[in-house]
Amino acid sequence: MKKAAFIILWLTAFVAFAQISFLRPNQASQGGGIQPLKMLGDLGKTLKGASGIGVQEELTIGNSVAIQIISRYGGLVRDEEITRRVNLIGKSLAYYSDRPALDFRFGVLNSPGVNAFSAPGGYVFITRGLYDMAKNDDQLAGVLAHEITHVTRKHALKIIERGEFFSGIAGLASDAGSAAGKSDLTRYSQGVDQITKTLFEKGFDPQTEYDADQGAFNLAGTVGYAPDGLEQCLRTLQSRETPNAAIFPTHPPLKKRISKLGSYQAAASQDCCPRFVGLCGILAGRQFILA
Amino acid sequence: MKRKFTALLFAGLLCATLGGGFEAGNTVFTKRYETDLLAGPQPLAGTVATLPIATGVKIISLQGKWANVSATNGTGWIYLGNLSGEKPAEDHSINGLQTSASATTASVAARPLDNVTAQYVRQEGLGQAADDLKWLQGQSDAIGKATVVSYLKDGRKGEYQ
Repeated sequence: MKKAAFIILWLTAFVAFAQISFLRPNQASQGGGIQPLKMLGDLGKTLKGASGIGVQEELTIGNSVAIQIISRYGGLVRDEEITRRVNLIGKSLAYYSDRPALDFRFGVLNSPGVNAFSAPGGYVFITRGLYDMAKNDDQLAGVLAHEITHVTRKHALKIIERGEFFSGIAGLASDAGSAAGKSDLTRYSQGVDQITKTLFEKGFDPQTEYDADQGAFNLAGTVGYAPDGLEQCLRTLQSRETPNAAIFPTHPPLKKRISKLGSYQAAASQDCCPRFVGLCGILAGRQFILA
Repeated sequence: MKRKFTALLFAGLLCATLGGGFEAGNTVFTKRYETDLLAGPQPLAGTVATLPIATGVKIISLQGKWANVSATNGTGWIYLGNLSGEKPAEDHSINGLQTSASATTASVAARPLDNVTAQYVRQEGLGQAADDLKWLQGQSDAIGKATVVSYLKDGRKGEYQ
């Protein structure tokens, strides 16, 4: 009996912590108006880091990061029909995302590789290789919804906030209408480099990717696309993967992502606690080790 | 048996304590600048009231992807995609421009590259990529809210399923 009481106490503490963590993503956007640059001294910039990056700063940073993505991956595919298709699917998803006021834009990169990126402020890119590989709108929607979730949950911005260049990049971006001094611009460039290095080389941490996968599953399903579109796409990728050539090297292993997405599907069919389908999915899969 | 009980207890605790989800009894929030509270669970039902962003509503029951909710100015139905489990922190204006229900996305989105990005582009020699970005902005911003809603209707997506 004592043991049961201890378990309940522990679980309650765990759940309370989970609640705090779950709320954290939105805290970054609070107070997200235009910030006056000149008021920010070094101390001010440091303090600002605690309250998050505002919308204006996000849009500026997003423009620069998007341009780097385009430059790095062969430029844009300037095909109006393809771009319109990707934008219609993407904007349909974004319309029901948690940031419906943000203007999302979707582009196809002229690269044969299979990859997808997002930049703060609502830019989403997929490579031509991924566009061609997706067999239908459902699979495209799954991939786009994953990237939309990175934007709505401000995953990239959180990396900046943790980075050493935050004060430079956020301070300058907050006054986007003004001309920047040379040293400011150098710091800003270093900050943008920091983000693109994460996107292109290091990748988000696995938990962040799983979070985006879960968000994609929920968003695609709500809008009416097959919730398992992303999973189908990842399975196709998995079939192409060879031991010496991992696909999505900056992402967690495909096998694990597919397994988690499958657990969300299983939980959804049981109609258990819809909002927290991921957690319930884990429960359904009995992946918790209980005493 | 004991393990099953513990697992069930854990699941119950998790769902109940986290709360805020799309379940009867929970309070959720509107996430659009304006959200119609409808007389029935379909988009063409009459409008009971129009709720501003971040209005808290209590879920009475769920029917498919629609929630029957209670608000301060009446009860009605809202599509789940127009609700959020968390109170939106997002400013309902982007770049200082208000996004009203009648405004098109294109009118809100039409903005040139900011000065900082323009300087950054010059410094890094990224003119070609910047041109690509402007092309994308033009293509993407031409697809306004009305076009998206029409696409949703035609494809029976979103609240038009």
